[in-house]
Amino acid sequence: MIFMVLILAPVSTAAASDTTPAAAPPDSLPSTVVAIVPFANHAGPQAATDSLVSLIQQRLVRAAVRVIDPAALRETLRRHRIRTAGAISREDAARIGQERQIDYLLLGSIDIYIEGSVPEAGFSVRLVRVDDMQVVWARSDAASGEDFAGLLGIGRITVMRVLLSKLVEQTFAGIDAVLQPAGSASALPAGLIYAIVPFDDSSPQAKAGDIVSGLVLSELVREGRRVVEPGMVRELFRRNNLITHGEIDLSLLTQLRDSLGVDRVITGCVDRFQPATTGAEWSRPEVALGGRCLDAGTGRILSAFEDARNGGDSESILRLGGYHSLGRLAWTAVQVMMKNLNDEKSWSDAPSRDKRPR
Amino acid sequence: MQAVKYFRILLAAAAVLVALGCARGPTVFINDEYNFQYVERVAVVPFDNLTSDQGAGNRVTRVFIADLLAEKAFDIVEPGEVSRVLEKFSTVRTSQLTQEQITAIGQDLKVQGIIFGNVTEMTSSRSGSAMVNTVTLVIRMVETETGATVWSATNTSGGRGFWGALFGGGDKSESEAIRDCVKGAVKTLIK
Repeated sequence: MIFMVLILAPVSTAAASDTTPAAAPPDSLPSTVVAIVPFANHAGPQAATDSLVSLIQQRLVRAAVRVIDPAALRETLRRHRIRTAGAISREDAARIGQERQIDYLLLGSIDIYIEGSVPEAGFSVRLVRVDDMQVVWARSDAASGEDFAGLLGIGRITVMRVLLSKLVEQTFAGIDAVLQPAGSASALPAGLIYAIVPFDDSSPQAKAGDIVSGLVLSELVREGRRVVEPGMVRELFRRNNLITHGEIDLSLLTQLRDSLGVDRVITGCVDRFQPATTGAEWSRPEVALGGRCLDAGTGRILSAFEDARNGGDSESILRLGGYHSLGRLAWTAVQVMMKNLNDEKSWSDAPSRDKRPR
Repeated sequence: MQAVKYFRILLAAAAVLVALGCARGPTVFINDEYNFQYVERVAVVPFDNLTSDQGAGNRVTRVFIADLLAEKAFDIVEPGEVSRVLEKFSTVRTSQLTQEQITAIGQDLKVQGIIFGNVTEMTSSRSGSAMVNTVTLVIRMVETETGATVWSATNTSGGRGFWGALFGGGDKSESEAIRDCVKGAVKTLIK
């Protein structure tokens, strides 16, 4: 009997090994399984997504989790006709989760990818627990090679892969504590449930609305708030044959509340999303955006905020203190916007008759 | 006597300089017979854009909504709801809505006032070393029972002004010019 087990063990191991080998020895395979869903590419070249995903995969393997081989996952997605990128619906997550025994899905987008003598990159990522579709972790990060330059430009990063590598290390620094074995679900943050209606985009930069929507999600999760997976919001809109950006009507708001338990909706618009330019007509990055927070129960606008920033606004002497990276400037703008939108003290203030003309 | 004469001339000159330096305020109409206490909830229709700057109308509309909300004088309908209702009148420019249509919109959205606006100027020009951004808005509120205009304001913001032209500086970004223009208009409605 023992002889039979010894023969069969390598066979069963081989059959199950469509996962990337983890760093741990074979007799203690990690119990947490993660699949990286194809990233949304807001930046342009396919090389952007390929570089980023490969770095993320290597980082996750170091966190002692089993990462589903991307080729094997693609096969599963193809078989189920799942063409998603950057977001996933509950049904699709359940299908691939069941087939591959996945605990977490890693979703995200590459937002900025500008090659050159001083490259610039930015991305957003989030981890969704397949059991309950909760977004348990989300981060956005961005930088320009200039952001790492010290005195006399020492330390400036001039190679894109090095920049991406640094960003991945920074972003995933706290991931190990989040990736718990299946079954030991971490407590969900208490409080209101948020949904993001994709931001509208009136800037010349394609996909600026989607990029800012990703930043908003990361900021909400960073603040410890519960956010509905955007793929589920998208699926609800699709069922209503609607693609809405920057606004929402009462009927959809009610459906978000009734079917997804949403309490608050965040939406808005991006007017300007411009990277820095180099050369003779040198300029800093620029961002202009605005947002609203809505009560899903009443449809009331609770707060609204508009902001416009230039990377040189915080510049002091010798061009110090300014922003080199569009991604970091956008991140700051989003943080300020969310702080104003989530000022709960102002939500309770009903309109005052005293302010109206007599 | 000579001293008094010179003093009077100096005083007159100073008065002229101060008057030149003072900015022109908005042109305002408020219907004194209308009871604004009755207006609990308003809808803001996307402003018409009469400039060559694409997106100016929507941009200014959003800044206006944010500013009006911050004053906490009225509840404001979510723009998505306004879009839903306006789609029923999709062939009509908002400035051509009839009284019946305004009343119907008011009932559908449960609002007592509807705010319309036009962005009539949004220009950027170079003045010396400075970039000068100028914005002009024409905004009005109609009450939904009769379609009568109960408030209107025309405001311009931007430019360098007399002192800016004399001593330099005073240039505003486009966003600042929009915000100042909107704020100036809103202040004529809200105390």
